[in-house]
Amino acid sequence: MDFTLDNEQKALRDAVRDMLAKRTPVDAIGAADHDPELWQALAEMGLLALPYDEGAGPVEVMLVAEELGRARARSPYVDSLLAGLVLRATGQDDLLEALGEGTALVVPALNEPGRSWTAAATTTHRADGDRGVLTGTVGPVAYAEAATHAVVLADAGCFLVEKPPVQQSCLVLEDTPATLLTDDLAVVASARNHATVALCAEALGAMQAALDLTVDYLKSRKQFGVPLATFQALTHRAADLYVQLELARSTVQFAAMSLADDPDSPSNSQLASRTKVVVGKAGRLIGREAVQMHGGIGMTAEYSVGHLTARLTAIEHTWGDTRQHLGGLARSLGDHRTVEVL
Amino acid sequence: MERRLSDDDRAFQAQMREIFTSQVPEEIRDKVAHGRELTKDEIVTSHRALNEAGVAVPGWPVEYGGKDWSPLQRHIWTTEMQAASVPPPLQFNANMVGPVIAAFGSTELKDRFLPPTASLDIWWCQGFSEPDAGSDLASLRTTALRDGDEWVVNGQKTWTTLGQHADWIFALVRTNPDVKKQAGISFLLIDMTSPGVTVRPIQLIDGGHEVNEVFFDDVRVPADQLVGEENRGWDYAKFLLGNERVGVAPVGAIKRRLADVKTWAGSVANGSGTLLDDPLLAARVAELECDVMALELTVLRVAGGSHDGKPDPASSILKLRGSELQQEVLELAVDVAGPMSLAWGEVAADTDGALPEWTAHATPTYLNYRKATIYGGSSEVQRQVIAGGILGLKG
Repeated sequence: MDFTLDNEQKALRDAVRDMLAKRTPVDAIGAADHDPELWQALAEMGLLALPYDEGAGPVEVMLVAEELGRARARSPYVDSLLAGLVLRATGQDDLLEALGEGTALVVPALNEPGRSWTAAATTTHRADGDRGVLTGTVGPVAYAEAATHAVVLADAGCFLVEKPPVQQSCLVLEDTPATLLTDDLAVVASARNHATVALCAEALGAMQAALDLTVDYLKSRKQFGVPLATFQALTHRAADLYVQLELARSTVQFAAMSLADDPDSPSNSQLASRTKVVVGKAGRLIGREAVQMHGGIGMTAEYSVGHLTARLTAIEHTWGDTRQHLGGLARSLGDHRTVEVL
Repeated sequence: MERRLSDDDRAFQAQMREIFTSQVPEEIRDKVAHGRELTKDEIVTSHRALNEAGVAVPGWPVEYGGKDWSPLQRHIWTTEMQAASVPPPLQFNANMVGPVIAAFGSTELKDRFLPPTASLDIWWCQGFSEPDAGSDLASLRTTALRDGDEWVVNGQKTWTTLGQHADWIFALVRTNPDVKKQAGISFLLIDMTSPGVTVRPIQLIDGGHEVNEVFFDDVRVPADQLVGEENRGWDYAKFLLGNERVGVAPVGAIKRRLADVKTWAGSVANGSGTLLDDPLLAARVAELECDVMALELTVLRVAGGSHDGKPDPASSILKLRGSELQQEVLELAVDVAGPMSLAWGEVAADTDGALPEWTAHATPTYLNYRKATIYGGSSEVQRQVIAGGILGLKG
């Protein structure tokens, strides 16, 4: 087992970091708008096609996602990954190519209002000629307004919908034409496992940025005539944030290596769940403590730390939160004596 | 990045598993698995079996029985040992005084002490803490004054683990009271049978006798038993406390106990099923499995990093989280035992009694391991090391 990056991986990470460092993050309140310029830049670097390249894979995707998180670069990178993996598994090669070039934006639409991640889809499919139509409300779907296509979960399987009608970030489907991609939900589950690990990598970057800001603030901010770093009530909590971040980092890196080693392993779903739990807990702690230790300035929209906390909160509630993943793991305790990683 | 073990490491893992399960007597491993206390003879037997198999002191120089293993192999060694319920080699010998003598001792000291230390013909104990020197170890007051070819030692050590079995003690003593407190400390080897050494037991909250007070009253120690240079003892102590990057978090033991707790929970009736069907309890187990996995992966990641043999501040993460998770698993065991946890002590721990044996061990073991976040640098000290040494947060 080896956690070190090779030179190509380091070069990729550094190139993404350099590109993002030249951009000013758009700190949106709430869900981010699509940034076509950033998206084009990612496409031009080959990052959108990277997950489907020979010679690249989950480890490279992790490095990209982590840099996006660190730079507060809001983009549908991990969303597009989930959709792209479904497209690849279902032979949608032309659309996958367009997705990789950045000319198509395909997003996953897997959840319905009023239903948790584990509730089965109620959007109904009906045959209508040779294509079929969907009826139901799906969402909220990130970047729905900008999407050219959505990969939609419905009662009869997983469908592709072109230019879906959008209301309040939800797809409002009324006899909307849809193409069946697969009725095998394991295809979606596998894509979601991979995208979840990438999402967790984005969280790693965001957590690192939040911790860095907090540590710098503790060193520079003075109260009572001394730097905040004088107070153990703060520094020991900062130490706990570091510990949680490093535990999460080991877990995400291991998850990415595992997916690279065996992309279709039946244990990937438990692996993704454990990763989401570890990252979810760390993200919640780091998110709230980073704001708290900044005091009032952390509450302001013009300062960046709160935007990282908002993003970490959104990440936790994407594709199953800590409670849901933990619940699934708790129901499958009997199938192993210990969790083996070697 | 590579998830799999190499073929060599896989073979190494199998070799370790074979040694641990075939060389260490099953009755000893069985006692460890059941959480029973080992006798001195059993600890010695197990340690010697490991030493004869060549795996008791892998961290030492090769000429004194060490192995040229990679950090990953060291981790596999530790984890397989704990998974097989093998008591670890006596830590005072293998991880503490042995490496210090090997690194800083004269050739005479090495040749005199390392072979019997590896074979446990000398049982060592640690003389660091004092009543007024705990986390602030450098404020220790036990003195050694030079008199001809001898040092004369006076003072008191405390929390001396298994000192009642020890033949020798390695002690930090003040040899120069007139300098900065860290700069006047030396590392001295003292025969416990010397006139003037008194050992007094301390009973702990689990009822056990694990630690002692050791008193020195004009104890005369030959001058050649001072390790390395006079007044450099603080450096050697830091080396001792920091040189174990691997093995500082008892991942194998935690995993084994968590698996046991799961089995036990499945044996306790609750409602129409067992405790393992209880969603709150199952969630705690599942969460601990996640936390322990994150810890083990961090151990592996730190082990694989290159630090040129220097203490890695990241080892503070492992001590901090390892001890916390160890305690959480033992706490869960008490909760699983529930009402059965109320009967405990030597009387209750009967393999054929009315209560399952593990229930009798649950509470005392939980109480005993409250020590884990205190010894070897308390959690507060570890946070201080992380905040100062890694994050650069210094007041």
